[in-house]
Amino acid sequence: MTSQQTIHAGNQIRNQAVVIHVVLLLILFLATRYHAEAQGTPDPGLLGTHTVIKAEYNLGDLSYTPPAAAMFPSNMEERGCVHYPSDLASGPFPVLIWLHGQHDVCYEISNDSSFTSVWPCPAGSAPITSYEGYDYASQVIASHGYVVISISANAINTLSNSLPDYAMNARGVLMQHHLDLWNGWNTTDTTGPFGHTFVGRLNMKKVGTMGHSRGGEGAIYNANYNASLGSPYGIKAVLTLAPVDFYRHYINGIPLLDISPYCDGDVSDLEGVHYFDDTRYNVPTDVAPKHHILFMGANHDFFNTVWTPGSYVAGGADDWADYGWNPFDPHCGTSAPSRFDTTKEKAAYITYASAFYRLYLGQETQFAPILEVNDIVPPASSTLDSADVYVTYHAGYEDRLDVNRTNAAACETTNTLTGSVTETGIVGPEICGGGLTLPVCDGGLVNNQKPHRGTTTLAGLAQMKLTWSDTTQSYENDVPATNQDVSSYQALTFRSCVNFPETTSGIDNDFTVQLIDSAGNTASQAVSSHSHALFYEPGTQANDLPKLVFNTIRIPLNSFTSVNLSKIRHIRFKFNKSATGAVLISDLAFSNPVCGNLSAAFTDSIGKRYKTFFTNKTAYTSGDSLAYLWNFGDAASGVLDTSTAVNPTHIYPTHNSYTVCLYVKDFRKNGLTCTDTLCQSVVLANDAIPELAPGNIQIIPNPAKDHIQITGTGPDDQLVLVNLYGQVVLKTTMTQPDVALPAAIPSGVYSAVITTANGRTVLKLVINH
Amino acid sequence: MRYLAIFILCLGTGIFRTQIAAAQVKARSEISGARQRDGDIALTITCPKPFINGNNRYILYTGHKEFGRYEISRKDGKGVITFLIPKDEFNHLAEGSPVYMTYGHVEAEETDMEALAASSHRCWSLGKFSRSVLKK
Repeated sequence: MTSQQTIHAGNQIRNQAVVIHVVLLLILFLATRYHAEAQGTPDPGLLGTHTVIKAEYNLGDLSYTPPAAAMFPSNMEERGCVHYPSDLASGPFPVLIWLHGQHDVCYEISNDSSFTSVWPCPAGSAPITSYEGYDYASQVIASHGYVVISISANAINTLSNSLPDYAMNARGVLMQHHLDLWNGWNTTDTTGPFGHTFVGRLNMKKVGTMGHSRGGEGAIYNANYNASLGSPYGIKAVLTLAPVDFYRHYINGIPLLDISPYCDGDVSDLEGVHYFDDTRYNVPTDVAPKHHILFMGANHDFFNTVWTPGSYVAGGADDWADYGWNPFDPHCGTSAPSRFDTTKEKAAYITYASAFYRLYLGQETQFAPILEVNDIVPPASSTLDSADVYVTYHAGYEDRLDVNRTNAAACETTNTLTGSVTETGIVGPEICGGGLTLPVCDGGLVNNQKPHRGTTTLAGLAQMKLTWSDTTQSYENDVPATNQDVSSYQALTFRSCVNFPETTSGIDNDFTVQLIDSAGNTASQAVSSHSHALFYEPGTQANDLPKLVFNTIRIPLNSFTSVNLSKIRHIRFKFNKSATGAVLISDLAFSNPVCGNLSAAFTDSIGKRYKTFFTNKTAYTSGDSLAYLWNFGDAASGVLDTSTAVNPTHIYPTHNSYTVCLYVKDFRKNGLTCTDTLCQSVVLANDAIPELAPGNIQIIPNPAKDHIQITGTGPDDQLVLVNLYGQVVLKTTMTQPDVALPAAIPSGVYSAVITTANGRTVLKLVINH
Repeated sequence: MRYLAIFILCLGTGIFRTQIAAAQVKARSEISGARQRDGDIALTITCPKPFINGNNRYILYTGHKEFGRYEISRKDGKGVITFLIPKDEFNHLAEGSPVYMTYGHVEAEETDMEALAASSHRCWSLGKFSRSVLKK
């Protein structure tokens, strides 16, 4: 059973009166998304060019019998909705599979505040369609050329609390099953609800997933389940939205985005940060970038319109206020200016989810800066201010040089590069917080306040605690000689947060980062010049706020002027911005963006007779696979105007200024194809080649049919045939006197420009095939 | 006039604090009974207010053990949560061990559960464990 409706860009057609409010909100979203604010990075959250259609499918409430791997004792429904571009013929399109979390399953039709947890829904009740709660985002992302599928998991929600694994295996298997369904509808199964509609329209090698809340852990399970089956589907991006992480599973090798809402009233310990923390170093050669986003005013439920009060016929909650937290908290309280309303929270999700999927599935690398902490200005479509959102980025292993991972007690004195770690005057510096045998950083905090925590049995994020008491104090990492050339990296990065229990309440922190080279030159940058991340964490709710959440601070290396980046010997944190302060830091590294250090570059060397030699100087990450395309700016040379060689040569017809462009494609191990272009002028001066007397060189026969012989020339001499329109039809080096005349050259009169070491001569040649 | 202003100020403060207090009040929960169900002991806890049916999990702690399988429902506006404890584990629980329930997992061995129960609306102290609950 299916139903379908067309959603036109900027408008929406629904047939339920109760969702008119949602429509109005959606129109507000869409109107916002037509306004592009000028900023460095393009806005990923604006509407795309595809008209979007929404369709639903429902194969039955208990139509799916899961395999043993699901560890689920009952059948499940096969139900969901899909948003897709109306112009399917222009596909195939990447596929997104989204899974909601735990929620009420059925509501009583006569009393929509009464719920049952029986599946299928009993008589007199109707299913709560949690899967429809992401329609607002599906529409925007689908408009950029994606097929976005959101699936129902009500059967799972009925039983999950009673199962040993909280049905996480079942969630992962259910997602895989829907991928199987859609793969069938994409290939051979035209008996399904959509007939031939989607045949050949889905790119199952470009799949992205999202799981919200318990669905988030389900998405992690699904990625691992897909891998265990031999990766039939190319899952290239996994987004965990305010997820739980009950069992500390994780994924490597797939780009990850974890989103944490600071005002989460349900999963209040923001345990999803472990998906990021646990996978930074566990696989040494993991090329996949990892991202984390902290939305400072978001709650748990407002990401889903079905879970949002007033946006659905039944149920919904503001999990902050309705789950017992203080509704008057100055930061997370219902009316606090910093709290995201439902509109803002959805806008924020649309923008950053779009950036993530469009980057890793759509290869739209122009959005990467948003997720790399390279551009910390929130896109306009998100409706956020800079204080509303913080991004964390962990580069793949080939794009990082880890200076101090702070992941062991030894890192207090010896860093990851085996350089010395020293401090001057720091109060009680120590590696802490990572659990196991490490001490606790702040013993007075409860779990919710330290999401990154470790326990005596489970590792967490180990941190370096730095508390200072005067402006002369510092913390320093030495860089051994073998690692001092950091010129191939773009930034110094580390994660940090204000250690609020040990610093003045309400005061943001700041300090200076210094690079010192082997000659003793020092360059300094204040953290506050590049980041707002050292904010005093807000909120006063007992047993929950403030929270210590780590965010990336990124300082571009090109801001450290007057030091030799090929000989960086020390990295110093100088606490000279305030008399006292306290921060926690981790993951100190030199790092590159997701496109590495790709930078197209070339030099040219001009030889005799305008023969120009190009030397490719493109910078890239060792081990990447590159492709080149040159354009020599000599259009008259036809097919000879381009080359794919690494170091090509080109013979120009005469002295002039030519614009030469080098286009580089970098096929990276992290799955991205990155590009860079450099165009620069090549000026060929008149090489003053003397004109020869025609009698020295002859063309035989003339008129010619299919070949000529040129006497009086040598093997390095050049022949160029030019037609009456000035177009070059043949260019060759005469390794021998005989030159073939291709049939493609029309019969006619040509100028034969013959260049030798002694000079140049132009003869008339008649070609008569 | 001054005294009127002070009276109004106190009244407003009192209302404000009452609102905060109301938001923070935790309804008392208690173990209402237990019965055998297949291979488990289904131990039921009731509360005058509904329990949160969210994405986090309830955990029952007693005698250095944690139990996380449960069923949650509402009945006549009251909250009912039934933990499913494997029978052999139930039989080995230490009599008299303090019993706590949390919404959201905590490391009980590293936490002052009594203090948490006193301060957090997500931690309930449920008295001492007694196998006699099975007879209720």
